[in-house]
Amino acid sequence: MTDAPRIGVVLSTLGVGAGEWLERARRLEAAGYSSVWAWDHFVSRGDRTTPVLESWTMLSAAAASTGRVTIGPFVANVMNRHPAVLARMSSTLQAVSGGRHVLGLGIGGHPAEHHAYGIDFPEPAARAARLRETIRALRLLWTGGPVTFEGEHVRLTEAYAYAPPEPPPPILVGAGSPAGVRIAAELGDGWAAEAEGFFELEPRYREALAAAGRRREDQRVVLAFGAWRHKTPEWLSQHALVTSPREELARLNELGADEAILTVRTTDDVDTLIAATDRW
Amino acid sequence: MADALPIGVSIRTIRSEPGWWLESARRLEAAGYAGVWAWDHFIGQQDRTVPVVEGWTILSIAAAETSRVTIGPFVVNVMNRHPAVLARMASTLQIASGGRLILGVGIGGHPAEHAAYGIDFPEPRERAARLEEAIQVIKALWTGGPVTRPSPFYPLEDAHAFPVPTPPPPIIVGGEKPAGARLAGRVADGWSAFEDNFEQNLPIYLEALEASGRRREHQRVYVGWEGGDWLGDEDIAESPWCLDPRATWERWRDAGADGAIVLARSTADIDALVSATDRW
Repeated sequence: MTDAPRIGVVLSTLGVGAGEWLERARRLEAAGYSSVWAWDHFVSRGDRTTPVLESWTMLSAAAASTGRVTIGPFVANVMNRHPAVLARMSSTLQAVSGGRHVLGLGIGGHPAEHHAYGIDFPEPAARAARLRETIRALRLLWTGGPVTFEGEHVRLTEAYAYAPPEPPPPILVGAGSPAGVRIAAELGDGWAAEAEGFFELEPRYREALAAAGRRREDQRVVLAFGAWRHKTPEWLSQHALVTSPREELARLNELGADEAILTVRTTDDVDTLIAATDRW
Repeated sequence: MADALPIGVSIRTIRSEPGWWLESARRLEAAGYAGVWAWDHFIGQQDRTVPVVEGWTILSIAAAETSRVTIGPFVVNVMNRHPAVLARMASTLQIASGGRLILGVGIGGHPAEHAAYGIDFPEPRERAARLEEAIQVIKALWTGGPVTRPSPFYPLEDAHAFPVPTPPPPIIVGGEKPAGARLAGRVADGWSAFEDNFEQNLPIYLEALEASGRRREHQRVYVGWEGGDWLGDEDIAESPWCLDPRATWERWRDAGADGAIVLARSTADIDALVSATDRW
């Protein structure tokens, strides 16, 4: 499968059992998909009684159930876990997965969930500041330390964090705004992008990279389709990445995405994606 | 192995490596031990550059790599994760493991680790108050909700949390002192204490349990063995748990325990525990 296109999947954590979720990951890996991602949410925005799996626990289990795909949250909400704890969770996942972990990280966008759970959720600017500090703190902690870091949101004092992950997981910044892509460009190893708004933001991302003196070819841009809308099965079966995968991926590569990922909600979706590999 | 041992094993996560940890878990499961447990620490206490495995991530992977043993943190520090997030991590792990999670919780006891990582670590009295609130929050969320519950630390408002773990994992309070034993008796599903603290605090736990109007037979009580310095190098092979496991267990069963949790520090310890089952 060395020649497989870089197309991955976000496996929805809503309305699916844990065993079925892991089975989806195994089947899509076997079919040749490149990556398995999970949202970091606890409550559905629609019917709040919809079952939702916790992402880190499932991704960790997926590290044991798979052997080739990259594994990561798309994206972890910086407000949900303490940055130092996240650093250690992430380095353990990187070690156990044999270096297959990619850490998507963003500022969240579902205030009702935080309000319900009593988890702080300040204004976007404050969350963005916490994201910037968290990225710096993660990278420092991943050296092993000792690290001293005096941030407004993150404080480390002679902090040790062994074993350092080898290599450190790439941090992809989830961003859907000009301010977000600046953080991705300045501090990320890449950008975790949603299809909506991507083509307007992509030139800004490259500009911000250039302004930061960083090279596009050293970065990784992952473009996700189908997160919020297009929930019908037809949406997926008619998607160009399914009907003409190689041509569509080549087009997206030209437009600035290194890897494309499709949202999977049902077992039928899995079947559709497996059948689509005949066209690779 | 005629019957599964009532003995679980805490596999060291400090001076530990994830591959070794998982291999040890698989061997202990095959040998018939009741459960595998992981500490919730991030840094070595003497040499701070020793490798440390993050507990929740390794337990989630162990859920996928084992099929019979109980899995659980021994014990998770209430200060390290938001209890609403912990509730969702735990319900997901309970479901993914097929109902094998036992959630050990406690108030932590390593202030230097918290100071280094910038994680709040108030005085024991407040940590105990937080633990009691956290247990209530977790149990309330495990009903699915919606839950509205004021709290000085962890308020919930119209909070939904589906899927509901069925059955809910038992919450065991690790409490070495009278206050911890009382807290366990008041609100938890069980209590654990190490050998030195077990017999003197058991009556305190039982008294609090009775006062809470709950029944001993619905609880789980564990005695822990660490063999002196928990971070030291003591071998388990020469301990009563390996030399004469059945008589040792019967002594603690008669003292009031439902199970035991012994500490394995090395491959030699795992070897000794595996061979000890011949003497069971």
